[in-house]
Amino acid sequence: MAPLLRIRDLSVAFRERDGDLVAVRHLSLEVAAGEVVGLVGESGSGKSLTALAVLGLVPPPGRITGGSIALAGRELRGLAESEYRAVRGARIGLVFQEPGAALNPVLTIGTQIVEAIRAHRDVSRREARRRAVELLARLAMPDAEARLASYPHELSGGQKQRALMAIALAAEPELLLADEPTTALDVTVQAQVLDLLEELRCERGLGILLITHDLGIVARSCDRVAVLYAGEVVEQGTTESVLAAPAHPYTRGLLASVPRLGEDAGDGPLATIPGTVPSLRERPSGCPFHPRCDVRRSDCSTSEPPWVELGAGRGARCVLLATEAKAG
Amino acid sequence: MSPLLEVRGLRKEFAVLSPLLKRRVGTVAAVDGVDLTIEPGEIVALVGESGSGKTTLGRSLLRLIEPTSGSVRFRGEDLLALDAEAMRRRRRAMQMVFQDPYGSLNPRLRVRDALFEPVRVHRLAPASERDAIVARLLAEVGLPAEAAARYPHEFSGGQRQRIGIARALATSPELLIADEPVSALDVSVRAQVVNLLLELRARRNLAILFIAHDLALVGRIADRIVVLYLGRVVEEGPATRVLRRPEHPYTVALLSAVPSPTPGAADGRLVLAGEPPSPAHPPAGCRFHPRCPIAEARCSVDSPELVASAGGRRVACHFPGRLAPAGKARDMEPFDRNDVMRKDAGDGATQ
Repeated sequence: MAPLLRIRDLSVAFRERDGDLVAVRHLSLEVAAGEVVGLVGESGSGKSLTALAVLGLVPPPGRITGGSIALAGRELRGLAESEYRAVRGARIGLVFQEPGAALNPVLTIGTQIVEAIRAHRDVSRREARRRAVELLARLAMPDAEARLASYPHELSGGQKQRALMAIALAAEPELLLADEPTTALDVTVQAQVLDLLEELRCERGLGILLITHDLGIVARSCDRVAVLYAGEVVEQGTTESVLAAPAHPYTRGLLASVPRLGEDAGDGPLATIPGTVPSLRERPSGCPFHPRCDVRRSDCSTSEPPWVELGAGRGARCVLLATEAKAG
Repeated sequence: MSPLLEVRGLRKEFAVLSPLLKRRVGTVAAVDGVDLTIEPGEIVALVGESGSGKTTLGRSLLRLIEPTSGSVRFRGEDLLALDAEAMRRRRRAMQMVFQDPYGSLNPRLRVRDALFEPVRVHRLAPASERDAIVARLLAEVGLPAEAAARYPHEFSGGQRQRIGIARALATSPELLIADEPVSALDVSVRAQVVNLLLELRARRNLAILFIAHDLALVGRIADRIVVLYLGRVVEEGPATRVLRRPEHPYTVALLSAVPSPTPGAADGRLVLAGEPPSPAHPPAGCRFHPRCPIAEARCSVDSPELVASAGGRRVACHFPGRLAPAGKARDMEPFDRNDVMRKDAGDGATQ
C-alpha cells in the first residue's frame, strides 16, 4: 500500500535574475498513517518550504522545479487550484508556529471552527457547532462550550494553539503538517500540546509531519526523523537510531551542542559547530556542510556527497560513510 | 565582601486600564517582592515562563522600567534614590544584552559607530581612539576587524548577537543583564554565543544575570538559579542543587517538561495541567496551587514564605521536596558525582 505521504526527489527554487536559487534539493520523505516524522533543520534549511510545497502553497517567485508529492498514492503536483483546495484542510491539516497570526481576529473561535467543519463536511450549523465543542473538549480546551464565543485576543497562547488545531482537525484530515507548533509556547504548555499530538496519532491514525529545530521534541514525539541542512536531507532514520548514534557530522555536531539536564557549569564550554548556517546565496560547493565539518576531506569541497544507505531505512549523505561502507 | 548587586523586596506594578475610558481599574504586580543577590563574576540565571516577570525584573534593575518599591543596591549604592543623570552614569557599569539581535541594533549605524556610541555618550575616550577601541571589542567577541565598516544587516543572527555583546562591553561593565540572549539563534550557533559569555566572565570577572527559559542550557552555565512564578521567587539556590534535587513542585514540573534529546529519557515525566494564570488575577494562597500536583487545602489559603532549605537554597512551598523528579533522576544519575547530594536523597536515588 502507498504510504500516506510520499515525497520523491522534491526540488524548490526561487527564480532570480541570474539564475535559480535552490532552496530544497532532491528531498525524499515518507509519512505513514499513524506515524510522526520529524523534519529538523535550522534557518534556511528548507523545512517550512517543504511543508508549503506539500500544500501547493510555495510563495512566488518560488516554485517546485522537480519531483513528486503523493498523498495516499495520488500525485498532488499539477492539481488545479480548485482540486488542491479540496485537499488542503480536508485531507491535510496545517498548524503554524504563530497561532495568533493564523486566526482571524474579528471572528469568534466558534465561528472559525464551525466554518472549517462546514467547508469540508455537509452538516448543519447546529451539528457543526456540536462537533466544534466536542473537538475543543477533546483538545483539552478548558471550558470548551464557553470558549466558542471568545475572540482570539481573549485566549492565551496555548488556547490559541488549541483553537488552531481544532480548525486544522475540523475536517478530520489524514495528514497534519505541524510547523514549529510549540515554539511560541511555554515549556509546560508545550508538553501538553505534544501529548495531544501523540493522542491524535494513536486514536485517529493521523500521520504527522512535525517541523522543528528542537531535537528534544524529536526524541519525545517522533518515530522517524529527517535532518535537513541547506535544503538537503543529510540524515534520515528512526529517531532512536539517529539520536543515539548520529551518522552525519552535522547531526553529530548539532546533538553535541545541545545542553542536557544533568550537566553543569563544571563541564566546561559547550561543544560547538564552528561558523554559521549558510544563506541560499552563499551555499558552499560540494558538500554544503564542509566548511563547518570537523572531519572533512579535501574532496568534500569539490564533489557532491553520495546518499549512503545504512540499513533499516537509515541513511546519510556523507562521503566518509561511503568510504567506510566500502572498507567494511 | 559586599555583593555586586543586592535587590530587596522589589515590586513593579502596572496599572490595569479599562479598555474604553482608560481609567485605572486595578493593578498588576508583574514583580512582587523579589530578593536577588549577584556577586562579582557570578552567573545567576533567572528562569520562568511567560508572565513570570523575569523580563520586567531585568529591566527594573537598570530602571529601564521604574520599579514601584523595594531597593536595588549596586556596590552598596541605592540606585532607586539616584536622579536621572546619576542613574545614566551608573548604567555604564550595568549593561543589557537583548534577545533580538535584529531589533536591538540601529540598522543605519555602521558597526564601528554602534560600538563606539556608548563610549562617546559616557565620555570614556576621545574620538581619536575609536578605531583602536572598536578593533579590540570586535576581537574580544570573535569578529574580524573588517566588521567595523559594515552594517548590521550584513551579519547572521549569531554575528549580530556578538555585535550586541561587544556594544554592551564597550563601557567595561561589571554586570551584564542578558535577556534570552540566545533564544532567537540557530541551535548550532547558540553554543558559540553561550561559550563567549562564559569566556567574558572568566576574562573580565563579569557578573551576568542570564534571563532564560531553557533549563538545560541554564544548568550548563549558571552558578545559581532563581525560579520565578507569577512575579515571585519560588526556588533559588546553587544551580547544581536546584536542577538535580528541585524542591519546589513547579521547578520539578519545569524540569520534567524539558524535552531531552536522549532517546528514552522522557519516561516518567510529569505534565502540568493548565497554563500560567494571568498576573492580573493571581490565585489566592500559593500562586502555584491550582496547577500543583501535591497541593493541599492549606495551599489555597496560606501563601508560603521563601525560606532557607538544605544546601544554601530557598524554597517557597509548604511541602518542599515532597514531589520527586521521577524519570529525570535516573537520567541524571551518571552525572550525579557529587556525594553531597546523597545525604538528603533518601528516595532511592542512592545506588
